[in-house]
Amino acid sequence: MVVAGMVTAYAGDITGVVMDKELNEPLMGASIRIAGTQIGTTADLDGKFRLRNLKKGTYTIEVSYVSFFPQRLTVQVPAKGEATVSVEMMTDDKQLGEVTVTARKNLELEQALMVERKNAVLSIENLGASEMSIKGLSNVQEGVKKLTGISVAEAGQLVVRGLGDRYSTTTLNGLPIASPNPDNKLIPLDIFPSSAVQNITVSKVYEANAFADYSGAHVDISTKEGGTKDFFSLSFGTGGKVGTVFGDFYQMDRPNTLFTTIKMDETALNMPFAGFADYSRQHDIFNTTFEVGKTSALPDLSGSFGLGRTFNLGGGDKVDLLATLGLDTGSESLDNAYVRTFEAAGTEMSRFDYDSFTKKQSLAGLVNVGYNFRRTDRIGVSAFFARNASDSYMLRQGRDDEKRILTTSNQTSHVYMLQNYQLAGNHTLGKWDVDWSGSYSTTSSDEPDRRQVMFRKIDGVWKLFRLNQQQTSRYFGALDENEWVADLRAQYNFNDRDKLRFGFAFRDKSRDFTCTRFYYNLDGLGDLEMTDFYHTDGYLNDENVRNGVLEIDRNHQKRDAYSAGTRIYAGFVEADYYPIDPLLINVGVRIESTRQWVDYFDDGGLPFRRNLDTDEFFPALNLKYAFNDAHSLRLSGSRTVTRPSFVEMAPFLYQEVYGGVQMRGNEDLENGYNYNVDLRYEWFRPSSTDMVAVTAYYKYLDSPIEQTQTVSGGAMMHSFQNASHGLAAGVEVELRKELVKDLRFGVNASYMYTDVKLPDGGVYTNTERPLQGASPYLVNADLTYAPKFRKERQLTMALLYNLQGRRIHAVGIQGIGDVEQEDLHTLDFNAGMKFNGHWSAKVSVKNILNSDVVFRQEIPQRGTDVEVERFSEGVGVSLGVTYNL
Amino acid sequence: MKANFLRTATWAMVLGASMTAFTACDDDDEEGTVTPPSTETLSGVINSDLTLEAGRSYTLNGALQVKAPATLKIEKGVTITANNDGQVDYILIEKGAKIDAQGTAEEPIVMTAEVKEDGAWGGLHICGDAPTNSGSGVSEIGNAAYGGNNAADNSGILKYVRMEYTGFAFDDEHESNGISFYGVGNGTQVSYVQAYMGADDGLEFFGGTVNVDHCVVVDCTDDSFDWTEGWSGRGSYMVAYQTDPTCDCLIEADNNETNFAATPISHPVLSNLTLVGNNGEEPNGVLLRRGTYAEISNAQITGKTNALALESAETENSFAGGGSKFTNVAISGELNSENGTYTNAMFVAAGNLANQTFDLGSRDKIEASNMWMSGWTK
Repeated sequence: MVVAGMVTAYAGDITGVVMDKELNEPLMGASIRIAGTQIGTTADLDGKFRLRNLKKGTYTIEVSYVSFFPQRLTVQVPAKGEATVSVEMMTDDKQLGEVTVTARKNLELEQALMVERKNAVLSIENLGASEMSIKGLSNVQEGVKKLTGISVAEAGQLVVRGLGDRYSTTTLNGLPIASPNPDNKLIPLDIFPSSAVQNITVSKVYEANAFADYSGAHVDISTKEGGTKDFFSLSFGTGGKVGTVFGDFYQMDRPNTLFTTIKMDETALNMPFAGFADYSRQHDIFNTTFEVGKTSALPDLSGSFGLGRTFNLGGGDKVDLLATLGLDTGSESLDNAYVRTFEAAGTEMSRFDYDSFTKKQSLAGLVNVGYNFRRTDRIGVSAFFARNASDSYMLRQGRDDEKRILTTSNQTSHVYMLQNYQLAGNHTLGKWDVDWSGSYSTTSSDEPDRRQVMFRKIDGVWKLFRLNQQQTSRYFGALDENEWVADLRAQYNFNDRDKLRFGFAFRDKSRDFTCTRFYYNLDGLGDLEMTDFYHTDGYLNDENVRNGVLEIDRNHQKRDAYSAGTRIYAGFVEADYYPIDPLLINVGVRIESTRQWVDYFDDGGLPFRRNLDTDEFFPALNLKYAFNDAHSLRLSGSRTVTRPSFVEMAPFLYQEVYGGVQMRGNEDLENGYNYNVDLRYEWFRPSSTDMVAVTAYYKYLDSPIEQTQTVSGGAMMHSFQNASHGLAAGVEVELRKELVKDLRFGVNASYMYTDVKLPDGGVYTNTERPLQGASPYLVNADLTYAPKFRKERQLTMALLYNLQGRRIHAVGIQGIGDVEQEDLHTLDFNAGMKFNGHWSAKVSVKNILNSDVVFRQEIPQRGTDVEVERFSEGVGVSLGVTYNL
Repeated sequence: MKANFLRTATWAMVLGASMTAFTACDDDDEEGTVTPPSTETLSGVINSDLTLEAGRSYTLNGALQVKAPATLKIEKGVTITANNDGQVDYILIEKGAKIDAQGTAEEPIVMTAEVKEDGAWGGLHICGDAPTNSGSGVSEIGNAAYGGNNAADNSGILKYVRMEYTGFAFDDEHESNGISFYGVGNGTQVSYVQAYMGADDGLEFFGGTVNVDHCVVVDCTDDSFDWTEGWSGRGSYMVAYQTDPTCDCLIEADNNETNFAATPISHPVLSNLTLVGNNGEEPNGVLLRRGTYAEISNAQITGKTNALALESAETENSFAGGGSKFTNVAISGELNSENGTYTNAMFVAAGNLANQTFDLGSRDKIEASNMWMSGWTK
């Protein structure tokens, strides 16, 4: 003890950094040892190391790493303080041929990502596969919600700094990816399961080498790639929602499992109008009935496998292979939820209670092959496939705004599919780095065979509701997108730090949408008395269609289909320049030439085309001043664009989902432009994941596109207009800290102010208001405990808290206030245990608080507000086991 | 007339066999005389005046959209038949454009459909510049703007016009009335019009000030007459007759669905009404609600469980406190009110009659007391 104390008092350290001389990159994992002793350490992700508490004197250190020539250095250690060395390692080509190099940075690890983040030219945030696993985040959507200032609104819409979906962009391995959801610009992020993801990088500032259509966030999803080490893993999990599993579960008829998309007779769907009536009487054109079956909900199941292999080809060249496949099934039910509407003076207009039962299935597979050669070059090819399918049954009962007592029994089915193929290469040629990439993706959104039957209670007796013919109906909708992207860029390295980049990109996206409705004429059934909402086969059957009691009317108007496309040619040039050592100036400009068009039909069936063609430039400036190794300040400024989506820029009537809001685009809609300023202070504690970041931002939105409301024949219709201007400003704080060994705390919080002034002439109640979907405050906090017991035995526990502040859910019109979603608190718990090199298990409990999701609406004329909707999503519990070979 | 029209027309006119049609046009210009084809097909956008000539029949194939300042003139006796191809057919008169359709009792103008069933086609939509209380709206079908500040706006003349088999539905929120009056001003003349067997409302008024007289609605399965968004015109000699058990209200009247107090408030003045249901599924006869005002005189309302009903505090107050009134109104059963502010007793005390029986159980009997219906209605 005494000796130790003295050593502490009179001792020095050796610190240093180990670099790969050829690549000028840190050499993580290099071994540093004092010759002839057991004292030693390994270099961290920055290549840095520290040997502590050495007595004054002269030491010889040995630095070694597989496939590099070992080095010996002599170091003088002072009595107090430190001696710093810099070690440059040369490749031992002879040795390279014999052993595998495993030093590629593992960008799934939090510490590696911290280094990326600290060194990045831009201010970024990231989340790796290992942190996602510890926190039990099962897909990218759950992941991004844990990042600062990001929340997810209904239907998976990403809200970043209060800016909705239209203000963000998604790329897969750096390449833009089409959205199969016509109403969202972004692809639904829950389509990417954690098992296929290496990391998520979110950049909230703009750099000229990216497409300029974002102001909120650029979310880049990197899929897993091989090359770290060979592995094979197999996982299996089960669980369910409390209150759903083993409970009553209702679904309408479907011929097969969710693996198949429901189809109908294609002849009947596409044949000329004239023949349909006869054909429909002679053939059973649908694969399903309106019958509702009751079962018991089975536990959720999930399984995935992953495989990584590296094949050495000699001479340092190698091929790495990665494949993953994951399948998830689940059930969810909502009981006793309700929704009601009011008019401006406070009279309740309608109220419906509903139960809903949703079955989900997601399937995702990824294959990635990389060829690494010349130690610096790589060509990779990847294929990603994902399919998310859901079936949802809802029984709604209540009183409509005409005071009719109604029951609606309906089933929706939705299938999103994505196939993405990428080919990319990275090459180093002297002082040049050249990257090229291309991708093709095809996405689809199918809403097949939405079915509805409505009943009405008259004088205490339930009957089929047949005021019009649309009450008993089916709907088929299909949307397909294809996107091609090509990107070529080169970087000239003047030295280690000063760089010049330029490049070209091409993007071509096309879309086709079509939908068809089928209405049942029930008049032939007469005045049947109904005793059961579920069993309809007795009268809504094929026999009654064949014998003419039921008539099916196929309704496909010309305006029920449209096609659209975007083509962008872009070029950029940017430089990283250090005028003085601590200051990085990244300055660049991008030029984009955009052609966007929509071919559509007006109500009367006349064809029209809307074009939106622009040629623009987008400047970006990113400054980073590093006070020292740990502290830095970043300042960014840029101009970016927000383009109208296809359905927004043309005046055809459109319904995102059957029964949803009616929308009609606006042929006068133009691009909105965003002026962004960000100031961030960052502190990263060296060789740890402790950090603090504080960001302030301000965005001026010039002509932002806002959703507006108009009245159309007494019914509400949504449209879009350029508001004169808007702004979004806020402060974000992020902190990560190891409290004691293995116990870590993380928190991020954001406060934002948003304001938009709406164009005159609308019927909305408030002409100036916060942006729709913007929560003024968002908080994420987590506590993780991850002790390591033996070499490979580790426990991880994580408790995660999220607060989503009150936000506008729907904009009020005609004197009635906005509908706001109340504050929502959620708490999740996740624990995992790695028993040995092969087996691990995990358990997670989600939505522990099970808070009700509550919506309230202002009634300005009464100076009060009323609750208009409430439901709770239920607690989810899951268990899983993984085997690694 | 025809040659003149052909030189100035810029509208897209498609003929059943279009080659024949345009050959005919050329010939006409050159020689001045060619027998017109017996049937012409109408569709497309009309930017300058178009006349549909007496004695000829026309097929409507899709939408016929009349834009300002064009006038669609329809001569007496013209029949327009909407074709049956699964695509919506309708006629839209935009704000600033006019319709001049003057039939006679002997030779009414008939707009009908190839399929003789309700819901076969999309009806007539007229948009004007008169006030509404719904801000800047657009028509339910056709996306045409309506409403403004010109109460005296003139959208033309409708006289002896019969609409048949309207009510086509795009989807559950977009259906078509027989005639929809969107913000139509009182410079417009509407007399002797009928909606027969529609799947939606017969005549519907979305705000505006247009006056109507001699209107008949027979078997339109939603509401026979409907107003909302602040209609304040006059209506006289109005007949509704329902035999289909699924028909909804004889009159369904709102001020504004989402704001009962929106201004200008619906406040029509109606007289000489014969409104007859058949005691079908829908209980309400005349339903005045959602803040509407109304002055109704000389009316007979029967054939409904709930012949006359008031809903919403705003509407009931208007009857209890003045502004709205019933004069010489006779109903079967009693007046019902949601809040009890204006009661059946008050209704009767004002000289109106409740619990009446009427001998109006057939179309003939209704026509016997409304002789102006003879000849041109169905």
